[in-house]
Amino acid sequence: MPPTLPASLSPHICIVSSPDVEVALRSGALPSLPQILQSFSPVSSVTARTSTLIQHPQFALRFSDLAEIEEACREDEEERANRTIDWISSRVSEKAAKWVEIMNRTRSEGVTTPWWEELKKCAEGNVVPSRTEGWNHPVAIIFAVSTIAANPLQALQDLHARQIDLPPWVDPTYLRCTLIIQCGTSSLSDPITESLFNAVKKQYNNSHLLKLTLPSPPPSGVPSPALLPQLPNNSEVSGPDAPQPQTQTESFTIKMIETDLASTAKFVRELAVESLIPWMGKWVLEWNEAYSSSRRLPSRLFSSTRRLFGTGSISNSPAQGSVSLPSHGHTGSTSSVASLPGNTTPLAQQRRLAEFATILGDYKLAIPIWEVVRKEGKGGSEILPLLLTASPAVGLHAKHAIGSISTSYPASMLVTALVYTVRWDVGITKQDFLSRELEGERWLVWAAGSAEEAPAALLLAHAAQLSVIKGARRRAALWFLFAANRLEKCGIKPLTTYFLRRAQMMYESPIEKELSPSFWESEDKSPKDWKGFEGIVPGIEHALGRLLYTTGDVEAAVKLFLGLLKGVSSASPSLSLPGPFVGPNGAVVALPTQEAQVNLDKIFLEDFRVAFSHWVDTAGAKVDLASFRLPITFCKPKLTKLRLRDDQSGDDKGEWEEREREWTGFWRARGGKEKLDNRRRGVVNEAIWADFVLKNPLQVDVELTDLTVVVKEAGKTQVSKPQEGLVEVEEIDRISLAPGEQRTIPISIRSLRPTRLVLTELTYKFFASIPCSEPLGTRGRRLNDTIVQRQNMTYAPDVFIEVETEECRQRLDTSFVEDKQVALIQGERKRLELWINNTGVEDVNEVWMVSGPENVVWVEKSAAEKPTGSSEEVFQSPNSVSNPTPSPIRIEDYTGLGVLKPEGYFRLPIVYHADRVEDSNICLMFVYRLDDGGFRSARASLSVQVQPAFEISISSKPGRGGDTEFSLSLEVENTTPSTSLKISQISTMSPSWTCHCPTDGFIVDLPPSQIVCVGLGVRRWENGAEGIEDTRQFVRRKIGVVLRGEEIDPSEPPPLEVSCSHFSGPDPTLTFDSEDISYLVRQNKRKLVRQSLSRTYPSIPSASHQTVFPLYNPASLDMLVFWEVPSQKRAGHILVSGLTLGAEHGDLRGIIEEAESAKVKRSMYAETQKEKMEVMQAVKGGEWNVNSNPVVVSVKYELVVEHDFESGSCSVPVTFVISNCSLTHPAKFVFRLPSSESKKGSSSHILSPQYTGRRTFRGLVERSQTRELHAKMWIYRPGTYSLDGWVVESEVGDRQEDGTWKTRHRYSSQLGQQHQVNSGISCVTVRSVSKSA
Amino acid sequence: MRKADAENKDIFLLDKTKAMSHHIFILSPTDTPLYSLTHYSSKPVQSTGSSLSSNLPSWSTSAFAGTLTALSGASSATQHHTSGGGGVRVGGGQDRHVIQMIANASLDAIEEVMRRDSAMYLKSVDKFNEWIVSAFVTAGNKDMKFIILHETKNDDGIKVFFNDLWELYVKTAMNPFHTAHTPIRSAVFDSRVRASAKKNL
Repeated sequence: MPPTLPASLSPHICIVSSPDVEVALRSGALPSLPQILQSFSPVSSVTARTSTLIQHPQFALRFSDLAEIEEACREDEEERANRTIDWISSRVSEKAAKWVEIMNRTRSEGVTTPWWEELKKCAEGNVVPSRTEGWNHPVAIIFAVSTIAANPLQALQDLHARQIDLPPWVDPTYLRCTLIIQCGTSSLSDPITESLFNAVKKQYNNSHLLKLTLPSPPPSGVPSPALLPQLPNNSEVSGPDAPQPQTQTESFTIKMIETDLASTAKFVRELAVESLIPWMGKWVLEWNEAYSSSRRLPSRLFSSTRRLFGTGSISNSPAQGSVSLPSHGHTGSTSSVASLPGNTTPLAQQRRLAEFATILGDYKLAIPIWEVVRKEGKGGSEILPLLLTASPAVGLHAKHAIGSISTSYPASMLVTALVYTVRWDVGITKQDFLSRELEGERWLVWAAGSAEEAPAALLLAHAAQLSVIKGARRRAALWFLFAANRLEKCGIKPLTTYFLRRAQMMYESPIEKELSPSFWESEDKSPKDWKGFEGIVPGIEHALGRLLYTTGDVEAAVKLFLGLLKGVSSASPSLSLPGPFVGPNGAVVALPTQEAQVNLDKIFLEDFRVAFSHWVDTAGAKVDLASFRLPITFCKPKLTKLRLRDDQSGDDKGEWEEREREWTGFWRARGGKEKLDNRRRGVVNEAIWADFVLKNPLQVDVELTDLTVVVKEAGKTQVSKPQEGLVEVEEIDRISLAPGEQRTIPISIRSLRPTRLVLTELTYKFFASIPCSEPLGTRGRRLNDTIVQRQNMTYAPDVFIEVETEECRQRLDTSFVEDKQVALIQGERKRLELWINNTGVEDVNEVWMVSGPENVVWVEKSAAEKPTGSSEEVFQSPNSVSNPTPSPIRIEDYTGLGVLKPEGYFRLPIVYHADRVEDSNICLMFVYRLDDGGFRSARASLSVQVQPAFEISISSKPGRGGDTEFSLSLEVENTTPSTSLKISQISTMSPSWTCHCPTDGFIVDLPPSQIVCVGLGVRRWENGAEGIEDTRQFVRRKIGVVLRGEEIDPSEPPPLEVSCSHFSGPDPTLTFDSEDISYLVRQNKRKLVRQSLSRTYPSIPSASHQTVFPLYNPASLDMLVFWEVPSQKRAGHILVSGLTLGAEHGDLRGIIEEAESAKVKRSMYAETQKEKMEVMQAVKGGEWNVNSNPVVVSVKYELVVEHDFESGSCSVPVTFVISNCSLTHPAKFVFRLPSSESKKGSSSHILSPQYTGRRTFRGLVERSQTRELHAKMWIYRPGTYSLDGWVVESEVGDRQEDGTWKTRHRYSSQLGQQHQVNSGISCVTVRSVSKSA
Repeated sequence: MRKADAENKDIFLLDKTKAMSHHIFILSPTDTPLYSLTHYSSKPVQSTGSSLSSNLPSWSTSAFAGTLTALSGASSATQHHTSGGGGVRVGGGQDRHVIQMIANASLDAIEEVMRRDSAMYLKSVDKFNEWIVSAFVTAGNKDMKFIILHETKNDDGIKVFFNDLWELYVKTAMNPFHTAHTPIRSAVFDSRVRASAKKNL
């Protein structure tokens, strides 16, 4: 089935008529002759004969006025093309609004769109001949006269004699026809007319007589189909007074009677069937013959070559797929030459042949000729797609056709491309056109090129429409966008808007995906949550908004602009952060895409601002701001916090919780059942602060006004004015947020009655006028209770911030009198005061202070005890490391009453000991009892900064016998840069030792960076022996329990007597009789011991330390250094702990051995075993299992002995003192003096002595006893003799009841190894003294 | 303003020397972009005489040159200011959506090619004016799509780049918390993609 050719590929017949014809037609109220004749085209059932017979169901003809064609041909082609484009644009512009209305009403998705139909008509209506193709070249010229002419024959002669003023490049081969119109109104009778016609027929071939009655008045007429619009001629529109071109593009009526209609139809048919088609057929045959003869030889050659290459002969079949197209490089040369204005060459005969054959429908003949024409570069590619069946090669023809249009004249290029595209669209069936082989919609895009004109835009729009039909919606979106962009330049706004909306619609319409349903499940997403490219929708909407603004729909524009303010999406991929890239010259160039986002936000906001203010100005009272929704949120509900007056800073949260636990534990231990009410509650008529975190998601400055929060009563339904009578909420006038800034904004809420308040939403005005509200609820927890909930994600209702407010009945406010940070010196005892204030309406009668284990705080009693002057004292220590318990505050001591009345207050003095060198907060919790028996707490905290001031070190060495078992050396360094300190007193505390000071009147001034050394003698204190043994037993028992893994009973260590020695100057001595010093020192000691225990026994829980370990190790000796800064009236003390004196012998050895040899209980957990091992190791290495050699040897000798060696050798006595430092056990020893010359001295000039008499001594020394061994050195020459080289072996044991000795440990040592206390080698120098001298 | 002028000058220089740009996208099976990168090739460009922007008709108004520059592959940072309409049009941001639109439009062609071709590297699947779209579809049931918009043909380089990208993506996807919709923000991934792009494109 041959394709139906578009009307523009039909024979073009020009009419030249005498003026009388026009008069005659006008008298009959008829349009011009070409228009009348055009109404009768096409002619049905026509047979054409070329080489074969071809049946045409319809055969179209085109009629035009020769004069118009002549004039049009004179116009410059490019200028005409420009006018064509403008003309089409103006037509589109006129009708665009109406079309859009129709399209919006019908919502048609079909191929036909009014703008495309219009474009098609404009392109098809062109009848002006072109230089490059012959379709519009006239194939016939009709010379028409009417019988109303004065002399029709003369008129006809004049017409024929008329010069046909067509350019030389117009094909001169045309048929000349003569038409005589016999009008009913003419004076000529029928016979005369007949004779005239016969005469004319003789003179001119192809003559026709058309008889028209043309009655007057004209009949009603017959409607005629609309004619194709034609570009008005240049002269018609150029003059200022020229009337608007009359184009009969709408349907009109031909006011003819039936017979006239029939005769006209008959004439047109006769013209086509009898004259034109045979004439054309004749030419086809003739030209074909010429063509064949010229092609014969090359054709043969060509086919033989083909055979040589093994391919088939040229097939005329339209289905032939292999079309070789010349490349772009050398195409178009001919056509461009042909389009040169000076080119006068008529079209090639071959092309005319191909055109005629195509018009007559002999495609079999036409196709090979078109191929040849194409190969010769004279066009043809544009026609072949119409004639060939669909194949990929057809697309190449189309591409070539568009590509080979001359690029020198862009306007005519566009017009030509438009004409081609319209022909293809009309001539190729839709199914083929949209098939995968052809992809016809792309041809339209090629044709549109880059021209920014309405036709190009409409071509793109039609391509988009075709893509929609094909299902390629995303491509359609792109082309709609391109179309809109180009149309915008032409100012056709309604269509631009429509295309933009279509682009957006196409982009957002969901695409069916071939994905498994479980894909969505596994991704935990809904198919509806599709998020495409982030930049597309804002891009379209912004353009749309600007269009709407310029077209007057400001409200819609404002809404669109507002919708664009989305900021940088957190979920968007890294597109917004492209980072630097390397430019071609190697330089790193930062691509300002981040800046682009800033710019975008700026543009959007600026556009919004302009549009909004314009809208508010113009719309006035009609402005409905409530319908605006801001697409961004500023508030971060999850970060919103409520702050009550009692709340402290977040750093202390853990401390307060610890205090609460401490209180709860304490009260429960006391048997109390009342609970501490620690719920956070606001107080009526008191400010509650809500801290909102606002973040500006935009990259521009934003201002919010009237920022406030909506507060409702919990459990109450919505009421019109929820806040009235309930709360007073602060409103913040104006807040400015910088780009991306995050800021915390506090808003105060004052409850007017006791209730439960819910903060539901934050409200503010954006741009000072658009009311916005953001809900403050955060999503509830994920529910997992039922199967349904587990299978589908279900969440509890949103969680809102709630706060309870109450009337204040009993309420204690506590705060430090000092309100800023207090600077203290290490160890300072600082007297502080607290305000205790009853702000409630009822009495408070019971208050406790919870200070926590870390703070050493003493509540000062009303009367401080004066220091006494005693330098020795003994006190009984509970010996427990348990933490201090909350202390009751005796209100009557401060107020004189048993209760604290409402609005009553008092100052509570406390003493704080700064024992830690760090910045910390003193967190004191005061618990007071409520009417209902429960407790509530008040808090006070003070920041303190403690500066280091001292470096203290203590060393001990065994004494030289006698009264002093050990001597202590205390070094105190003042490390402060400028403070001069005074050491006012030194005290020692020990259950086993007592100290004495060799000097009296102890007082030392210690300037900055100075060191003071104090020496003390230590001797044994026997009074507390009983308590010591109890304590040791207690530790043995408890550690045994721990090692066996049994439950530790809660008993605490037995009390212990502690001996204290105080050394002070003339000032009264501070003693432990004063409760505050005693308490503070005990707490200092407790903290130090607990720290040490936690370090040494990490595997034993610190909570059970108090039931396992005592406060004092019996062998320990603690020192207290009291200091003063008299000028600043500061005083303090520092406890130095951790010194143990005397030897011990693995007190826990038996228990450890027992535990090790016990039957091993296997635990299934390796961790348990490991933990046991850790405990064992800790116990073995702990201070309660110290094992040391108790025997200490010291030497008594004379440093220099004088002897007259002339009288012989001399004997020098030396006394070795064996001391047993053990606190618990006797020690046996074997002391061996070195044999003679067994060892050289450590240096060559020191001699080794020779001992005479007994060299080995054995004996037993009771604990803390000494024994002297007397030896004699035999010296036979003067010199310095070393006293080392001896060896002492000792063993510690128990004397059994039966008198036998049981050894616990053996030790061996030599001088120099054992103790370095004598620092240096003991030497005796024997000098020779000559008596004679 | 002076700074902006300087930037414009830079960009102008960039235009002159014609840095070839590549727009790279990684799309989820549901066509959500997970990663995107604009790479400016430092390699010399074959002189393309028929650049679209140089070929603008003389009678054409150049007001919409922003999109045209995007289409002709010039730097997307060119700035154009048009008066009226209550706003300033800036090339950088405006063109980005056109590039994204082209990438989105190419999905129609990619899906069509995917239906008839089982290869992972789909070569050049579509062409929009000067932009050639090459695509790569990962194997398996989660078809991730890698798309490059480029201006000149470079099949081999793009193939190597796509293979690198695939490997990098697979490494990223091995993170158990990575889903088919997790945007890729890893700096390591980004730097390696850039390195591969610099090497191959």
